[in-house]
Amino acid sequence: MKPMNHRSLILFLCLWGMFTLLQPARAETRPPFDHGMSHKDDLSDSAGIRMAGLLDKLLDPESKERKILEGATTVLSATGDMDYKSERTIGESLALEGFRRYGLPVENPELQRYINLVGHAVARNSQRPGIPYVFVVVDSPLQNAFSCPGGIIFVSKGLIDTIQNESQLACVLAHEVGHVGHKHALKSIQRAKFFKGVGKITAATMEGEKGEQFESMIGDLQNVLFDKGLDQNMEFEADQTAMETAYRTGYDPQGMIQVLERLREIESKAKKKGSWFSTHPPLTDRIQKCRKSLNRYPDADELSQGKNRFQARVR
Amino acid sequence: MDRAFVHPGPWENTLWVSSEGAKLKSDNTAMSDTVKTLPLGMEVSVLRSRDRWHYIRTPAGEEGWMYRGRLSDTPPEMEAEGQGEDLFAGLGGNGIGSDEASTSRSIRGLSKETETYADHQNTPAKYRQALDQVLTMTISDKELQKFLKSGRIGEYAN
Repeated sequence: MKPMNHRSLILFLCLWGMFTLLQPARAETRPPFDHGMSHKDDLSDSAGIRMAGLLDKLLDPESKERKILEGATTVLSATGDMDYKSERTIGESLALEGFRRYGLPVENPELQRYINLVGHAVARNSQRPGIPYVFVVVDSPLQNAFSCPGGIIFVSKGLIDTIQNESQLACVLAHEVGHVGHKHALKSIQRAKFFKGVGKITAATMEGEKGEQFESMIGDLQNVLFDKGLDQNMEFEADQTAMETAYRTGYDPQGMIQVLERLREIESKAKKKGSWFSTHPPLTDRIQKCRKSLNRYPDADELSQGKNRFQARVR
Repeated sequence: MDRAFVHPGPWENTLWVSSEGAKLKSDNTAMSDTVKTLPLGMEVSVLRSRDRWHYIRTPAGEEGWMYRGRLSDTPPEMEAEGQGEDLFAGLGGNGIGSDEASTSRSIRGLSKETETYADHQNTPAKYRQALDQVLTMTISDKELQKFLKSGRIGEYAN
């Protein structure tokens, strides 16, 4: 069994200490204004005894307390505490499955460069600008875009063909960059078995039982990102983040609303499975929420839409 | 909650550099001289604002103009020290380097761990090669600035 790390122990002791100190007040019937010294001393003694007992239990690998703590550290290590290299390995593995599912990159170096230029322009103004991002257009007729942890962003040719100008493209890419910044995909697998006892992903954790658990986790992620979709609130959050990021960069944030409206127009005729239509919340809800936040951008109309350049580089 | 723009008044004049490659300019135009490129996360004081630009002062006392989109009212998320080691081509430490390097940051192909995953999954070579190629894409700061300028985006709008 993996030894507890220092930070986890401190966290647990703090939580347990608070719990222990509150216990007598809940359990005993006390006069409402009795704050006498002798009673406080009783509480301290009681808390000390409990703390000593707790330490014994934490050292026992089979104890209930130890198992609770390990569960808590699983959640911590799987989300905010994960090192970038581990996050990137998850992202790369998922990206391989992305190509398998949605096809290879479109063989058009100019288009790929253009997408990367717009993508980098927004990523450097995103909430997580300090990691490397790459953007790729894949040869799929479905309208879809998704992001792999660590910053690998996929956009389908079908979605690019639906978009009408550069600000709309910037908003779509900023939406995906937003998912990476908020670590939404990672949060969706934070309780995966793989993370039990694993602090970071290494060559050793890719083999044997752990390796199988890693592969199963990537399977779960595919299910979330390619079929089921992320939690609706995560999608709404990514929409809001996209508008903010596009605006900061100098693009019209209304591009987000325009692209959602465009998708709504073609929804009845579009293939749903594996597309933004099936993996994202209803378009009307998204449009409504984006419209509500427009008052944050009073000069949105004056910002760039980039229609001419988009048409020249993409069509 | 997302970071938001602020139009600082006398009661609210602290902002954070929240973009990679944020340039402090000698005037409120992108074409003016660059005084310095400020690091991500630096706390600055806003002395006044004009159009979409703020006149700011750094903790070291340097003053100049910065486009509003490079600043926000909360600190940006910083990657933990050392996390980027061995990952960022041409960079050292945590991978947060100079402005020149910041946008050309890239990953050197598939990691050893991803290769192991691909072996276990019998991933066809064409998908591995595709990802390998995608990961080597780099965009230099110079190319990005040229792109923004030609599109009249952000600080290049006027």
